[in-house]
Amino acid sequence: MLNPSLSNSAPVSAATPSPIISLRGVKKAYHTPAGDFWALHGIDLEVYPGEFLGIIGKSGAGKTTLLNMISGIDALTEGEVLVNGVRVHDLDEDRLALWRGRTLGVITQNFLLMPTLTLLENVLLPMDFCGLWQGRKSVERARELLRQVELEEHIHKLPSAISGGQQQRVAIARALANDPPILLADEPTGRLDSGTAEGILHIFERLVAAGKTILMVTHDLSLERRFSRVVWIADGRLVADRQAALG
Amino acid sequence: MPLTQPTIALSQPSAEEALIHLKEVWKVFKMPAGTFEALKNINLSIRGGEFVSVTGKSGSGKSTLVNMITGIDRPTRGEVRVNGTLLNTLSEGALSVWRGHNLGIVFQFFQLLPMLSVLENVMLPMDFCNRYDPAEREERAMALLRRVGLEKVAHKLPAALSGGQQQCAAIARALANDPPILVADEPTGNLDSRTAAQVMEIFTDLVAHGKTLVMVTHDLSLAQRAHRVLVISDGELIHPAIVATWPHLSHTKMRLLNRHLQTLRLPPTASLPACRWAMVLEGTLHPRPSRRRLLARPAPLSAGTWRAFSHAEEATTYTADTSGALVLLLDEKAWESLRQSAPDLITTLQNRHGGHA
Amino acid sequence: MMRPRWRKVLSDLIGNLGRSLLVVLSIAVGLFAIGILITNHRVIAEDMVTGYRAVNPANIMLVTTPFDDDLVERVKSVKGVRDALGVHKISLRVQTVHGDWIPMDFNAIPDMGTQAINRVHLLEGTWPPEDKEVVVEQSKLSEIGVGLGDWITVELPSGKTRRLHFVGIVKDLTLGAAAGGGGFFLAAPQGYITPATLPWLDQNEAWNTLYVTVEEGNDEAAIRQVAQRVRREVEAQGVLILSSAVRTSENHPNRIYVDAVVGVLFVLGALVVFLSGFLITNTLNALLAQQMVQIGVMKLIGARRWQVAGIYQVLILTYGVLALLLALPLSARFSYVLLDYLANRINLQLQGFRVVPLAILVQVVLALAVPQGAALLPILHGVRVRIHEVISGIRPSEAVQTPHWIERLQKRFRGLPRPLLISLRNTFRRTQRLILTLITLTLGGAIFIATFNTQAAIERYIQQLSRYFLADVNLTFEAPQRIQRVKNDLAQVPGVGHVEGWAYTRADLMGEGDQVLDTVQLIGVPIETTLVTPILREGRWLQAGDRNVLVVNERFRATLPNLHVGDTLHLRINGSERDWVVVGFLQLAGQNLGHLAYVPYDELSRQLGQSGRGLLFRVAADRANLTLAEQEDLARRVDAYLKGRGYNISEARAGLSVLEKTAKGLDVLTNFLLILSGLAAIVGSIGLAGTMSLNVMERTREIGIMRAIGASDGTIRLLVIVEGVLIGLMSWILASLAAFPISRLLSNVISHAIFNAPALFAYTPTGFLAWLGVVLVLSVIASLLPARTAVRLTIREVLAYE
Repeated sequence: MLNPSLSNSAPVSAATPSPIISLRGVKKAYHTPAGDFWALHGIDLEVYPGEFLGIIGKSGAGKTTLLNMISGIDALTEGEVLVNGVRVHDLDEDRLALWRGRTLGVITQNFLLMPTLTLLENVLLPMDFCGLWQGRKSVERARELLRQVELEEHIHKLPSAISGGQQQRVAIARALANDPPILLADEPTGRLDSGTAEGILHIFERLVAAGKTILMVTHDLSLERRFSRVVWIADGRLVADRQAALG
Repeated sequence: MPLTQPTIALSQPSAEEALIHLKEVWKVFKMPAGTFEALKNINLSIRGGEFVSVTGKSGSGKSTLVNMITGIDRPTRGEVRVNGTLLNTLSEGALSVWRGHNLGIVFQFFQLLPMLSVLENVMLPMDFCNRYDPAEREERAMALLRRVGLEKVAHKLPAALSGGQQQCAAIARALANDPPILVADEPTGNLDSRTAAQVMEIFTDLVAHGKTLVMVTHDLSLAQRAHRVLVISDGELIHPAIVATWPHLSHTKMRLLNRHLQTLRLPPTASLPACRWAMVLEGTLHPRPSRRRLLARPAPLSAGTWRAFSHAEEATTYTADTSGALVLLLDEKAWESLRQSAPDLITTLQNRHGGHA
Repeated sequence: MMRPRWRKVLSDLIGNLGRSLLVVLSIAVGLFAIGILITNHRVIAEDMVTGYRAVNPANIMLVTTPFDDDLVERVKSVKGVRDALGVHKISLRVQTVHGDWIPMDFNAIPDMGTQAINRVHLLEGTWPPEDKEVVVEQSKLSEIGVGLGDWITVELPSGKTRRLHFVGIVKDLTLGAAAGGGGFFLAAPQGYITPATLPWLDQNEAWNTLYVTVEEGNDEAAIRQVAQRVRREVEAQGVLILSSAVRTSENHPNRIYVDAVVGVLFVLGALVVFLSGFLITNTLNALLAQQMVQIGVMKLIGARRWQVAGIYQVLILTYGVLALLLALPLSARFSYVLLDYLANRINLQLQGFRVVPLAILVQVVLALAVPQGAALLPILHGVRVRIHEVISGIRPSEAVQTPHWIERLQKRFRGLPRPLLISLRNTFRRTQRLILTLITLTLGGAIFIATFNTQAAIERYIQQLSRYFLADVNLTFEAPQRIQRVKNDLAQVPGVGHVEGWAYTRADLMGEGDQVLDTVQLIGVPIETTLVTPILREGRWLQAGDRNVLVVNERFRATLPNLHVGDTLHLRINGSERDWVVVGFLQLAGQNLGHLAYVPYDELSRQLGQSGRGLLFRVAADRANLTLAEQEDLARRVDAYLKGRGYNISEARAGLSVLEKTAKGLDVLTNFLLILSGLAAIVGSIGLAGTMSLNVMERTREIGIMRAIGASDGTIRLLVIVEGVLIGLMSWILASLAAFPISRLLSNVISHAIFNAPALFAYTPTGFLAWLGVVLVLSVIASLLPARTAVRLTIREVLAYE
């Protein structure tokens, strides 16, 4: 069970009315020499705090692009993205980076750990960059996060010395370093075998229970029932939006 | 192009008639974190002209399996024979050349050479393998591009083409040396649904003209357009009969069942050994008429049908006819083990006995 | 605990040791070279001056008829004179360890212990010598070959021999100072004895050489004025001055070589600074290109651009510091190796190991400031990286812009094999990168070619010098001999062919108002001489009908900058003054050989009252192309025969040996340049290899694709090599073009210092071909090696995500 004292997210309440993430008319076009390619055709989406949202669709459907709009790492063509009250695309690059480091935790298919840093140092990095560095206290926090993903024996190893599943767990610990309210996960189990994937999903479920909001992109239909809510995306449009039955 | 319902084979072609044959292939990766068995005891035969799809989750080993077939990776144990050549005996350089003559590969990310025009990309394999008269190569390449509808953009660089066009160019390139075998790894993974459909059309057309196609995909709907669907789960190849009979079973359950099943070839007129469940793959099993029973004789079991037995002895009442039979069976121990770990699987095996189309 | 971002810097350094080493080496190599160049530039000029001044060198040197201490005292009280010393110099033959007899100059100096003027440095043994002992100068000692402690056999004019005990070895920086002697390289072995030894050697004890130091030792005009007064004083006492020379206290006899070296170092130093800058930029570009994904990740997790930039600036700073720590001591050490080499060859006294602030400053700037500047653009480019592009693992379609002229070129070569097209187009894909690479390689190559070229050009010139030494044996008598008699006698020696007798004298070159400018050596040669064919720079050689004409050497223009063909020189020979007309300028082996002119034999011998006689004889063998050994053999036989006939011979020397001595100084320069070109080759090679390797490592994906579609090992190797060789060849062409002006510059710098004239030769094919060889070999190796590793790993990665 995640230590609640390390979390600053509000517990889920079904009656909470205001969305934590809000997309209005979001469109994204890529300009290629072969012509314009519209990856997103006008997405309207509201995500509420505490949701475990699954974004399901085939490859090339626009799932990653959607996440990139929310995290701000790619620019909008049209529309508006509000996250935690902030108009993401109004921020300049540096302020956006800082905001993202404090508000979002990003997990991707390729783990994206810094290959020359130890697991501990990887988890410490976001604290350093976002001005939340507190020396020994930060180190303690990082150790605790790694303990919670069951990697405390490996904290001084390099990412290349551990398995894919373990690397993803480190990525999750890093994503939690600054205790962000929202986690974005892009195909987090894409390169993992079924057993390991299960472990990752389990961690996500615990985090949601502790009050985090998690958006997870996947093409794996069998994961459907793990989410509290699922949206389907195809060819750049949201084609379905289903709330899971409670319980 | 009308989609014909592919016949789903229950068994594999024999080693002799196979164009692609993997025998007891293991692939073990040694990593700092320990050893990882990517492929476990793979036995696979693919006939010439077959369209085989390889599915499974990411990390299941499907790409590794295909790497064995293309020679891009070598098995830790076992034999790989493709188009008559034992791949493990070739050096890296020889494999490369062999690939040029025998295989066409289509990658998920197209992998065209960015500094050559589309036409030149298609001609490149011909240059490498010194196939066809140099004078003919351009002709032939144009013809291939026409076949995939790209003749108008032949002189453009790949960067000027859309994803779908690039993939079609890649297919044309794969066909450059007229190889008997095509291997496609998630060919539609990066394409939108319309282009994906176009590409699948080209593939089915090629198969209809006699090419052997091995396609890796995680998309089940695409996979089922093949003659045969191979399912890999955590490095194990699930028996095609399981895949064919219960395609929507979870891979975990398929794996479980896979491990417990035994394959048995019955000589002519031999009877089934004692077991709790049997499925016929080839031939027919006839029940012995029971003098005691006044009930109707149970139906014979033909290929594709299965039966669960309430007690093991009951199985022995079935015998093969004069041509023998190939059966899958679960003995007492297996049955009990399954009952312990996956009772709903037992239900599945018991509930719907019969056959499938 | 260290902040994580600095941990990243540290781990980047340590994590990829191979790459770190490459970066540090690229920076260090330039620092090393520049350190050596600057240190040598400074030290050699300074130490030459300081060292020479410290020996209290004579400013005025007069060779006279005998005089005594009385005159010395008078000279000391002449206005402007600081000190004066009378010395007895005599040339006697000594026997070498091989049994040959060669002339040796003996200097009998009073009060050697106090060393008033022209001090020597004791290297081994004892100083001063006792009576009947001799101390020998170290630079010419090898000609004699006798070991310290042994005896040197001296031949007295009477034919008797005496043995002097060889007790000490010294270094005499003033060797070659008296221009009349022909400079340092042509000087005979020098020995130092006590005046009391002279009678024992059948010599009188009077002085015959006067050394004077002057109050204003650095002002040549002042020295000349004092010299005037000294001459008057000397002549007033009835002593005849046979030759004279003046020299400032900072004018080391081999100054011209130091000037040449200094000039070369300066030019090369400037070029290496540039080369180093480009090399560093190239390397850092490649370094940062590999960091793209990590930069994207850092920005993803919250790093701002200035934080990312900061990380890399610290990383690069660290590389710079490491390179500095490596290069500083190494360049200091090797500088002194080079300096020692030079000092020994051109008779300098180094003042000891010390640090040259400018060298350190430049190295520090290069190590710290330049990498920061060079990395500025790549860092700015890097921090602007688009996160979603680098972390997705999908390469954005690379817009490949093939320049138009390449496309047109390809249409011409339709038959070009397609795989080679890949190489061709790959080379031009990223034009900016290509240009940067080419500049680096070109500079490195140009420096090498130019240095090598210049060296080869000097060697070629040395070969040209042989035109002055066409005789197989150079024969010098103690006194002028009747030419016909000598010819008749020599005809008896087997192997002797054509013989010529030349007149020789020293004359005073007169300046304004009866001032003696300097001593001139006049060589009177027959108009139809076949044994000297001078290298003419201006005007003409002697011709039939010439009377009072001269063909002068390069030193004349140094003394009289406005001298032209047709001008008149006022010469005083044996007291009588005549005008001589300059009809041509020739180039010999350097200004330090003193004033030398060729005049018609008939005229000179008549003026000397020696018609029909000659002091110098030139003997050609009866067949052509004698080897040195054959010449020496002939010389020995001539010497023995003539001695047997009663002649007093000063020297019988092989022509090739004289050539070698004359060209020695130039030879030192060629070796020096050879060392520098080696340095340039190393720097250039590291740059080339490093750049090529990085190029190939970026090709891994394409190599993988080609392996997947059927390319054989041979094809891949060919493609990689072709691209490497293509870049190498382009850089070679550009380097060759750039080498022309640089070669010209270097040759001129040297030539002006040595000959006071622009270079005769600047280019030879050697340097160009040598670099071509280096480039081809390195291109192939530097491309092949990384390709082999790339090929093995890539295909699996190509099929999966990158």
